[in-house]
Amino acid sequence: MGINDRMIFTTPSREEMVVRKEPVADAECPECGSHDVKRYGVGWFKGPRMVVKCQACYHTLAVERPLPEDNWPPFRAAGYDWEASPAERAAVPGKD
Amino acid sequence: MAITGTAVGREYFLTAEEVEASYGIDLVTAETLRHGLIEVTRRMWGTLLRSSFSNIIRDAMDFGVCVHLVDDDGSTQLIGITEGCTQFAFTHQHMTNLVLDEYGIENLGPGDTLICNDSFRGGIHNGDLNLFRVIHDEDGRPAFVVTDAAHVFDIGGPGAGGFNNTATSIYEEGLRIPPTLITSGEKPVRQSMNLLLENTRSPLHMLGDLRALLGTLRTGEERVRALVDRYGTETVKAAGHYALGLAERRMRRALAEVPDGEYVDEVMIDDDGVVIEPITMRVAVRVKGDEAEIDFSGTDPQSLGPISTGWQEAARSLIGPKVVLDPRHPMNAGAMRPFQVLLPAGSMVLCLPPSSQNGHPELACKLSRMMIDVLSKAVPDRAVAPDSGTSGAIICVGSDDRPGLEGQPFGASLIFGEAWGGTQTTDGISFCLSPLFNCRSNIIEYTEKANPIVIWELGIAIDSAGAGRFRGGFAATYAFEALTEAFFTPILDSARFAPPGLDGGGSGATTVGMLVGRDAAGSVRTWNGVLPAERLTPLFGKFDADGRPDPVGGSWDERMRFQSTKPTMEPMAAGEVLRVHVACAGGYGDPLSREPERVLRDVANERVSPAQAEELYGVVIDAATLELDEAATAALRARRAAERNGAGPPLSHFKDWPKTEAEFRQLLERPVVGAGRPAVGKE
Repeated sequence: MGINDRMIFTTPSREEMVVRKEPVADAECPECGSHDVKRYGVGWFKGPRMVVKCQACYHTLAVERPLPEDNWPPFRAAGYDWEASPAERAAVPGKD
Repeated sequence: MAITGTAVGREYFLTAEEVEASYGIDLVTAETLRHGLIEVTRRMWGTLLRSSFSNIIRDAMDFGVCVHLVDDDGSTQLIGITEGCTQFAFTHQHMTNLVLDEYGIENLGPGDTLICNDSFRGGIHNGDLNLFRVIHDEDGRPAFVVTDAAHVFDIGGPGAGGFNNTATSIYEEGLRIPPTLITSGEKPVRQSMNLLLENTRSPLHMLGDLRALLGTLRTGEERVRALVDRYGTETVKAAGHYALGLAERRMRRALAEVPDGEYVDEVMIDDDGVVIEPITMRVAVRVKGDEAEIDFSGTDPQSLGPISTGWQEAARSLIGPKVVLDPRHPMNAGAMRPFQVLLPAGSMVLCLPPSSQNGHPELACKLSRMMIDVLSKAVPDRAVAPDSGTSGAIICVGSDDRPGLEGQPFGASLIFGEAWGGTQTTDGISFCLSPLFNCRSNIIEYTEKANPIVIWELGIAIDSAGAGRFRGGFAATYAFEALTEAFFTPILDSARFAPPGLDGGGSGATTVGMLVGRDAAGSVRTWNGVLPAERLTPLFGKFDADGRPDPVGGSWDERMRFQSTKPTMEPMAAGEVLRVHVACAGGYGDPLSREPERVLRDVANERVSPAQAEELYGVVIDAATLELDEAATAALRARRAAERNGAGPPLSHFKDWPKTEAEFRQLLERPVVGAGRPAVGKE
């Protein structure tokens, strides 16, 4: 993934103004038995999360931290996964 | 796959025994500490209010102060907050998690403070500085976080005062600060401080505000440590979880009372300030049991102008549910647990970088109104008619030239209040900011002391509130003069689309702005917000062919100086007087069913003219004696009902604006309504 990919975007079309939901294969809702279970990004109280959710009865099967390939939320800092420098750990006891 | 973070079961109430079994502490201690954690934020509130420099912080209370607990996985939950700007009570739950996740909570030690203002990382706009300080337990593990946020005087960029309504990218907004260390071991980090002080038009305000924000976090830490010293870390954290669980159970109980189903709504924004076209936002709220999904699919794509938002609505969209479903309980993250928010990437509610979000308040006011509207459909007995849907604010900046202050930058955020809609039981609140804010209106004397500005008038415009069995509230109409050359940036909307009524109620008047010329005596005195058209220079909004504000028959055309309510840094000559009528709220219920005594009281107080009393409310009143003609009222109401044939009442606005000075003088010389009669009560 290029450094621009989560920092610079073009404006999407009107047709894309619907949250994209990915079907979950072989999933069954424990509440209603439906197999219409999908995974998608949401804002949850702890921030961005992926939910696995029944589309028939809206029962939530799981709430997960997004994976890098989920691109959720769209923006991510370039240095998100970089190791913190000593200057950024200035006051931690026993710092480098 | 297990659901994480919602350990509370389906019981909405716990006995004292169950509290002890669930949280490991007795109920009295749990309640004592629940309030103690809120008290921590009250102390922080006092510190920030007393020590900040920017008027929008200490005067308008545009800030938030919070305490959070740290979970085992390093994530955080907001457990205490007090008065301030409402939206921080929601955004800081998200932002604290986003910022600490990115920076790494493990990288922060005692006396370290992070600063961030980025709205793609959960902030609201660049003008708000957000600070984060971790409190460690006796073993050095992160246990709590205290945070604060405040809207500072200036953050650089083209628009002084932090707003650039013409920005089309984030690069045109001012300084963007990713999570950055601003104190290390209690010492200010010099390069961070210098970065901020060298990118603002007023280093004095910036340094004063930064010190106030840092001092506020120290106060917060001292108060949390006082609780920990007395009760121990684990007990205080247990009480935090108890507070979260209580707020969650209350919200779930309220949601469980909402019939399962999907509720939809939409709202229009006038324009984005750059492209003069209306913008539509749409929402579907799906309630199942005691949970809800809020889906903004179908909302318009992100705007070119700066009013889309980047993550804020993931949190701020819950303001409406909190206001409608559980308004009385103190806010904490527990109340957010039952909701999931769906935001289409690239839409108005989740714009993509490098989109600008500088004009976010006008989207946010409309969105919070839409959320209250949609829940009013789900819970009709708690319905509130639509509010003004705008900040109603103007930023006025410049360089002072008063003796002793020559050359000093000044910046006034003029915020005087919008209006809330009517309800099933009462008229809408007047002079009250959007549910988004809960900020305080400006104190006029203080504004005039701190800035070379004179507030000529703060009042209401007669006949402008939406009619209803319970009418809408009156928003502020205000006029101010700059005593020196200045620049103004309105933060306004609802000039094209009037706040509608609900359940048969009428719409409130739309927003208009104008320059006002003086009369022969040098005054800009009005009659209940009304002036002669020949002294008005229309700036924005709808005016008739004679230049009189007219939201029904008027048009917004080339005569107006601006084609949007959102110009930026427009010059204002010394001595010019700018006047704004902020859109008023919608009414609730058929105005023909309003108690005639209530109409009489509005007429006596010159909120409603005798002519509007007859036209919209069907109430006949003798203006001189303030006597109600009951028989004539009954007959007129029957006739009005037949004329309307089920349609709602017309939009409220004063129809007799004078064209000339002579006509205005006649208005001023009208006999005072009810002259000689004692006052007839108050609201």
